Amino acid sequence: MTDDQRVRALLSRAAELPDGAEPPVGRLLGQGRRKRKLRAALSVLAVTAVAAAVAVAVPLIPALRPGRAGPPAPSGLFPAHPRPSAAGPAATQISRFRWSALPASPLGPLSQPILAWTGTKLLELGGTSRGVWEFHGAAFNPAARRWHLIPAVRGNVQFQNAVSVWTGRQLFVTNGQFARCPAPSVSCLPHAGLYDPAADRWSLTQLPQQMWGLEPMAAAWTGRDVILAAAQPNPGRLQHPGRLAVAAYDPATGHWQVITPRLPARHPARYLSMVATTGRVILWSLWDQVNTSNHAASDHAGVDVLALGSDGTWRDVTSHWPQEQNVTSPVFTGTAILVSPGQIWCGQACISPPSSFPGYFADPVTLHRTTIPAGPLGQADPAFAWTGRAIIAIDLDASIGGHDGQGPIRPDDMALWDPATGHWQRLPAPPGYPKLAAPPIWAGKQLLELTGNGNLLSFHR
Amino acid sequence: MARDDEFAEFVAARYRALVRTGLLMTGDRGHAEDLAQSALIRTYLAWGRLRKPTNAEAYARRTLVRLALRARQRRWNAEIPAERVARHGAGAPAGPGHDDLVLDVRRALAALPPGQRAVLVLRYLDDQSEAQTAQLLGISVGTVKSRAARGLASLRRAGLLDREGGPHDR
Repeated sequence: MTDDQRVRALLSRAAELPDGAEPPVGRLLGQGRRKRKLRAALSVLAVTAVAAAVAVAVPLIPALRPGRAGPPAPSGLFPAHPRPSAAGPAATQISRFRWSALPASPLGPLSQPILAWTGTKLLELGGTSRGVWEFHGAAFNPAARRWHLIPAVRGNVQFQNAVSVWTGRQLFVTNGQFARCPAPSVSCLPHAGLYDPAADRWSLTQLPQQMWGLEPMAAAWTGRDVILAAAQPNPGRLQHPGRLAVAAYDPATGHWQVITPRLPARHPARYLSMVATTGRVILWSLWDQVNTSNHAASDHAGVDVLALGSDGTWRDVTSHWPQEQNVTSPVFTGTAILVSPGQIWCGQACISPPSSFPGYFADPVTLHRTTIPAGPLGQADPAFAWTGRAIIAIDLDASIGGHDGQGPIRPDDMALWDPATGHWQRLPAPPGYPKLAAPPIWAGKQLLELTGNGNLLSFHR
Repeated sequence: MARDDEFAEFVAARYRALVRTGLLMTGDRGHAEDLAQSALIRTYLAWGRLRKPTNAEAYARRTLVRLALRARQRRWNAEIPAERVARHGAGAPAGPGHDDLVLDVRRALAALPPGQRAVLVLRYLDDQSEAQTAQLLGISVGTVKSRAARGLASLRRAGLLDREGGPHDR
């Protein structure tokens, strides 16, 4: 017996497991589904934070009110006046916040509902219960401390893996669902729903035909139009062209305008991120290209960055943008684009390393990036919520043991970063570390957290 | 759902092998199961782009090994109490001196530098080639060879290779 054979036999014996170590298939599937939905919901967190910033400012400035009050708007996709950055509590104030329980959701225990902040109400739509996706919704008014049910949406609007964006007056939501039915009708063609909290009713708009069969991946609100971007993420063939479609929807007229940009040759879109800044929409298209020869495949991947200007034309602004990173939950703070820590991008077929990249601010004009130092939750790739003057980092799902004198990190742990001082500090986690139904929402003056059992918690002054 | 069915089948087929790898990487059965489950959840999230079971298997193994290496750096107390090792080993098939041998092997592995241990586990438990091991760990083939040689020398110095050729192996 050679040394190689001996060591194989030794290690095999040392790794023997007793019978009965059954694989926890059901539990892993459940956790995997929850985590996948949480990731999808991160985009909701991002757009909601922007919506909250706009909602805080809109009541103060008549020219920015939805419905185009004030001076006539230009003919482009953006309002005449840029959105101001929103105010918010100072980091020193947030550091003294505490947790309180608010009335529980009437929808009960759910996972992955869509949460959105309208400026005065928290909207909760859909979610899964025992693996079944729900169609109902509810709204919570913190001032009155009351929930009320909202009408069910009709037509073919579903909330599973949907993208949504608050327009200042309505919540736009779609998952591009293309249902099977014998003849084209409102019940099977892909639609977006627009919920108006003031009127407590839904309206529908059919997605443009160029988007049929694609998966909406990002939505942004310019102040005039919803920009919706959709792509074909997993076409099943390595060298599929990977369709992309981008369209602008004007809620005032109900009209769609297809504005799909031309991507560089052989850069098929796989995943998309988008953010609206002052007078521009920035779209990140994560692409990959698989080359096969002699039964071997190589994956070539990167990121294209495109800017939609106020004149409705696209420009390629990729320049020196890093080609190996996802762009996680971009949020416009009024002066910068805030991106949460996230994963490496190396293509669909690539086995990406488990390492990640830190969060950063990007200049909205030059796209120059300023890295935010990793804080107490740095290793957990926390989600960032922009409060107007500070960042609350929230660990959504990672458990990491402590070391070097630092305590462990667990889901629900939070930290605060003060841009004025550049310092991080820990914040108190919600009592009992409840399981989150969805990423928490910054609601102007407080952080709202909906737990998996339907309880609503407030982190407030 | 095809994705979930495929993943469930993959977990049923590969879970024990991943736990075995994790067990030798960490010396702790509970920690090994945690690592295997974390690696499998990440595999589930990446399922859409892995496409083939062989890709998924490589991804899960690579993730588990890297998580094990990272976890070792993060844990404030990575020492494995001897009685826990013995307890976890107690479920293995018994034989004359079997528990002692299992315990000694795990102790010897735990005493190795993590990089050497990872190479030994991937090469000799998971039957990965030198090139595959190098790719999984992000190191050169030459480094794999040198770490394997040093790791084997350590096991030999501990007298474990001689014991494996002895009566327990028959």
